[in-house]
Amino acid sequence: MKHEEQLWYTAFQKEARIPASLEARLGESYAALRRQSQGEEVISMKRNGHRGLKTGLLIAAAVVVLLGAALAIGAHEGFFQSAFGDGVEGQEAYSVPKGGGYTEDYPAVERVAVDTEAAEALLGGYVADSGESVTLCGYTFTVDSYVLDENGIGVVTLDVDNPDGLGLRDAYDAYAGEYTPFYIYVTDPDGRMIDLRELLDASLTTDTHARYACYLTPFDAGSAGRDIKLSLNAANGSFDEEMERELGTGQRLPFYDDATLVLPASEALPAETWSGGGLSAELSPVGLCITGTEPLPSSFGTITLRYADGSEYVARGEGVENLAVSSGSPDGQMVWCAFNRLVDTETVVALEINGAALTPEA
Amino acid sequence: MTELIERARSGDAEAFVRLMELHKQTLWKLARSYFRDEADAEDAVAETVLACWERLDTLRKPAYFKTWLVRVLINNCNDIVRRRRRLLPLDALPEAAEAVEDAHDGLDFEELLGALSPRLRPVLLLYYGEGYKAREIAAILRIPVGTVTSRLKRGRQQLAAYAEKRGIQP
Repeated sequence: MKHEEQLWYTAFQKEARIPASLEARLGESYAALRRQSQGEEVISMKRNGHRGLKTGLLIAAAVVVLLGAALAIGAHEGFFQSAFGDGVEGQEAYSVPKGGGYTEDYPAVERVAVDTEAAEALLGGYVADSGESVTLCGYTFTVDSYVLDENGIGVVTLDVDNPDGLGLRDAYDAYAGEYTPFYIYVTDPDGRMIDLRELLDASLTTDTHARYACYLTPFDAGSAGRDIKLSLNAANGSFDEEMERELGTGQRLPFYDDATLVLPASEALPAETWSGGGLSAELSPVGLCITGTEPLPSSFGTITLRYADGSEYVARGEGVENLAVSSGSPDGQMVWCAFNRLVDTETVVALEINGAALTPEA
Repeated sequence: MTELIERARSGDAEAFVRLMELHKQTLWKLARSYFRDEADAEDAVAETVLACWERLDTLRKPAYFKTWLVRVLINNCNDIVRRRRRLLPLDALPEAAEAVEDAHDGLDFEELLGALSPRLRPVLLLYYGEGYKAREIAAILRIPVGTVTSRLKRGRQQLAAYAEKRGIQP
């Protein structure tokens, strides 16, 4: 371990001073729950009451337009292009000098063209067409379509429009945090977060319109097969003046209005089980769910799929990252990976994870 | 520890109090990594203790008690942030360079927090202070693993720059 690293470990593990007021509150809580455990008292939450909640924000009315509750099945060329095609641009591997001889390396990302007819034949029946829409602060968010497999891995295409301009160039990163004119997060109905990576389809994006492919992987197996809640947030033009005073000019914290779109659970893409090397993997056309008998490594260095025609898809390799997003369960026993291309599982003949060969189960 | 957890799950208040005391430092330090205001951090810890007492039966595996506890705390921190209607739990801790006068004592926890940008703090604390791996931190904070690793890198750079400024040799 580098000496510098040891310095951080030592400092972060030092005991911190706990205020006497907290010790007193905890003492009261302990006494109350002791009494409760003996059936004497029901504990109620008490908060510090000296600060009022900031309630000056206006939450703009969310206009939710349901354009089709039914999950219509049809041609999904645009969906396939954005989700699995090369409208989202790849990148070459590159390094950024950070000073002090330190360099940050970024892996190559390869996007490939998609055969939309083949894609339609492969999973058209599982694609849910939404059209659900909400307008916030001039931004209209419209869900195009989505597909999810039985492990909760999938992709949603989302359009964002603002006739006055999207303002993406106004984004900045400041001491107080990053500013973006709008942002999204995703949960299941129980509030469990779902990992999200939004990639811009440059081929369909203008100053007033953005098309995103939003890749999803869960953090908990219980999120699979559930409705999806998209929480949409748009900057409403007001800023926290108190914070700006405290932090100085330029440290502006915007306030956001928010709304939620619920995407009903769609018919889940089936996945096939592969196993080997102490691992089990559920492979679907959109992703891979890996489980292990032992806690999984913190990172899978290599994931490769080989096809019957001899070609291969290096989902993750040295200097290559062709997973759109991946996430793991807190107990270290499951990892979910979303592909950045469509995989015809019928033609996959070999699956290798961290050097271990997995074979399909009968 | 497992025995304490099992006893607490069965309603043994003394076992639960013992568990909370064992994890009090973790809860407090993590809450402080979210809030500049000690009162907010106190709220987060106090609410977490009561929430854990009420929900302990939802913990599926005692082996993951600490992760579960940390997650409950973070949910409470996020709830407090939402109640404040602030996007981020901003921090205005004392300027790190002025926080500790004696440069010979090395770095302490509060000083390190002050040296880091706010959104880097929980990540660095969970990694160095609590021993979680990047993937575990991603799951706990509900952020992509890539974000965790990039924040670790940025955090290390900020800490190194600060240590140099303070004249502390690694």
